[in-house]
Amino acid sequence: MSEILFWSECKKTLERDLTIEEYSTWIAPLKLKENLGITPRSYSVLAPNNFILEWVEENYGPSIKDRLRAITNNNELNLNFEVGQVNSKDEEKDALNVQIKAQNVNKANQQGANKKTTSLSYKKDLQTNLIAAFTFDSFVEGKSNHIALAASKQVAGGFKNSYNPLFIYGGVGLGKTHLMHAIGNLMKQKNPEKKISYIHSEKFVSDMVRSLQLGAISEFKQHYRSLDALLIDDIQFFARKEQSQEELFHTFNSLLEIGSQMILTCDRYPKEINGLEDRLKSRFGWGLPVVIDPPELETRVAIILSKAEEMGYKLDDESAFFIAQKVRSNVRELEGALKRVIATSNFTGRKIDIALIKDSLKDLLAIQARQVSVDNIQRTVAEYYNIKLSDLLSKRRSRSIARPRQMSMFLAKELTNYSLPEIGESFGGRDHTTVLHACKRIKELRDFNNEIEEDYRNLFRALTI
Amino acid sequence: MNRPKQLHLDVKLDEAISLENFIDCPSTEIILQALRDFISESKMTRTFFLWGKEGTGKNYLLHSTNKKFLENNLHTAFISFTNNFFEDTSIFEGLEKMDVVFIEAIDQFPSDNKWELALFNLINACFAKGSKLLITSKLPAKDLEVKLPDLKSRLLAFLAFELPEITDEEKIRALKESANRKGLTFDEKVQSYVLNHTSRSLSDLLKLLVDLDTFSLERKRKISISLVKDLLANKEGSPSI
Repeated sequence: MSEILFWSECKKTLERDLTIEEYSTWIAPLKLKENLGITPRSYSVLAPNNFILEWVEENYGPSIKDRLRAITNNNELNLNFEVGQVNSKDEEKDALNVQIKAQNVNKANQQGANKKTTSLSYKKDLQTNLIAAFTFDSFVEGKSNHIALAASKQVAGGFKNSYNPLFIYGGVGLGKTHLMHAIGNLMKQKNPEKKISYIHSEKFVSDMVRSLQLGAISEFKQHYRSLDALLIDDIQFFARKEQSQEELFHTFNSLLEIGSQMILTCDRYPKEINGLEDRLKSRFGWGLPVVIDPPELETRVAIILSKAEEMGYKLDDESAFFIAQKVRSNVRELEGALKRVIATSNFTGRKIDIALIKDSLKDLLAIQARQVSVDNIQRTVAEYYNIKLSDLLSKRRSRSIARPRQMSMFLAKELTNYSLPEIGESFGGRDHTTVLHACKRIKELRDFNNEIEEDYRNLFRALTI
Repeated sequence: MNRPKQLHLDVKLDEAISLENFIDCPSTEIILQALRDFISESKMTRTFFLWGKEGTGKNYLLHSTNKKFLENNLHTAFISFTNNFFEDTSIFEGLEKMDVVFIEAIDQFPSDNKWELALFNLINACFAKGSKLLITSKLPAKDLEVKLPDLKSRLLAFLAFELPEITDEEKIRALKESANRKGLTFDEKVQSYVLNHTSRSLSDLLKLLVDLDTFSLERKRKISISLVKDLLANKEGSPSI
C-alpha cells in the first residue's frame, strides 16, 4: 500500500470515529510526508501551524500512530509531528524567503503556473509581490482621486523624482493599494532590472520579528535597504510598534540616501497617525501627501461599469447608476454588490435590470435604508459637532448651530431618498427652500473651505460604512 | 498552550451530508448554485460570505462544501467560532497556504483588536496566495461589530448571500428526502409531530433525523411518534435539540 493510500485510509477511520467539527478542524488540514533518506522509514504528520500541531499531537497523536501501525501492519512505524506543508502552495515559499534568497524569475513564474487555484486576475509576481491586474489602465479616474492618480503616474514615470516619499492617504476601500501596485507595475515594466518590492505593513513587521528570531536581521535590513523602490501599504499599522518604527526609520533614511523611491499608503494624513514617532511623521510629509476621497456618484458609476467589464459583463448605464446610487461607502462594497448582482443573473439566467438588482441586493438596500435615516444623520451630525440634537432642530440661527444644520440637510439630501419638503419637515417643519439653500451653501463651502470638506468626508464615512 | 473548549455535537461526517442532499427549493436555489461555482475553478467566487439566521443550514452547507473540496483532494482548514473559544490567534497562522479556508460564525468572533487584525492578515494573505475563503455569519457583513475598518471593507467585497429560512412545506420536503435517502419510513404523522414538538430549524431537524436513524437501529424499532418521544426524552439537555 502506498503512503498516500495508507494515510488516506487512516483519515477515513478518523472521519468515521470523530465528529464533523473535530475531523474538519484538526484532521482534514493534516498531511503526511515521508522523511527521505532515513532508515527505517520515517514519516511526518504535517500541520499548518503550531496551534493545530500541538492540539493534534496531544489529543490524536497516539490514536493516529496506532491506526497507521495497524493499517500498515508495521509496529515499528516511525512517526513524528511537525509544522509544514506539502501541497502546491508550499513551493512558493513565504515572501521573505522569496525576497531574500530566491531572485530567480523563471522559478517564480514556474511556481505561479503550478498553482492549482491561481486566480489569473490577481496573480502576484512573487519577486515584487505586485498584483499584475492593478494597473493605471484598470484604475477608474474621478474627481475624488485625480490628483493622487496624476502624482502616481508622475512617480511611476520618472524613477527618481522630487515626490519622495509619495504618501497616498484616504479611507478604506478607495483604491490606495490599487494605485500603489499600478506605480510598481509601471516602474517594473519600464525598468525590469530594478528591484521593487511591495509589502503590507503588517507583513513587514512580522517578517522583521521572524528575522530577529532566526538571527537573519542583517539579511532583512540588507534586502530592504538595497531596493530601488519600496512600496509599503497601510502604514498606520506601524502605530505603537516602536522597534518596527525604528527599523522603518533607518530603512527610509537609507533608501532616500541612495535615491530610491518610497511609496506609502495610510488611512490618514501623516501628522494624524497616533502612536507613530514624530520623526517618521515628519519624514512621511517630506514628499507629496495626496488624498483619495470617497468616489462621487459619477466615479462610482464608472467603477461599476469597469469592474463589470473586467468580470466579462456589459452593464447598461441605468443599472450601473442604480447600484452606484445605493452603494456609496467604498469601492470594495461596490465590488461586493456587483459580484452578487452578476452571480444572481448568472445563476437564474435573468437579464441584469433594476428589478434583478433590487432582488439580489434587497438585504443591502434594507440595511442602507435603515442605517441612513434622517434621524440617524441628525444624531451623528449633532454628536460630531458636539451640539444638542434639540438645538439642531431648533430655530436658533447662530453659526455654530446653523452650519451643522445645513450639513445635516445636505447629507440627508445626498444619502436618503427623502424629498426637499420631507427633509424640511424633519428639521422642525422648515420650508423646502431652506433645505435647498442649505444644500447649495454646503456645496459651495466644500469647494474652498477645507474644514467643511473634511467635516463632510468624516460624516459621510461615519454614516455609510 | 491555550486550549479551545469544545462542545461537539454528536454528529458524524455523514455520507448523506452533501450539497446534492441539501434542500433545493426556490429559497435555496441561488445559494446552491453559487456554492457549486465556489467549488469549481470559476474565477467569480473566490471569497464567499454566507449569512442567515440560526438553524437555516449554514453549518450543513459549510460541511458539505468542505467535503466536496476534500473529495477533490484539496487541502482545507476549518475554524469554527460556534463552539470553539480559541484563546490564541495563532490558530490562523499559515492557513493561507491551504487551498480553502472555512471560518464559521464570524459573528461570534472575539471582539478584540488582535483577533480582527489576525483575520485581516489572513484575508490579505489568502487573497495574495489565491486561496479561497468561505465565511459564515448570522449577520450580514455590514451589521457585524467590527472595529477595524480595513477588515470590514474587505468582508464587504466578498460575494455575499443570505441563506433564508425555508417554509414549513420546504422543511417537510427536506425531511422526507433525507429520510428516503436513509431508507427510513417517516410518515406524515411523525413529520408533523417532529415539526410541532422539536426545534423548527432545518439543521436541528436534519440532525434529529440522523439521531432517529441511529436510535431506531439501536432499539430495533421503526420510526414512530413514540420512538421520537423516547429519543427526545433521552436527549434532554442536549445542545442540538
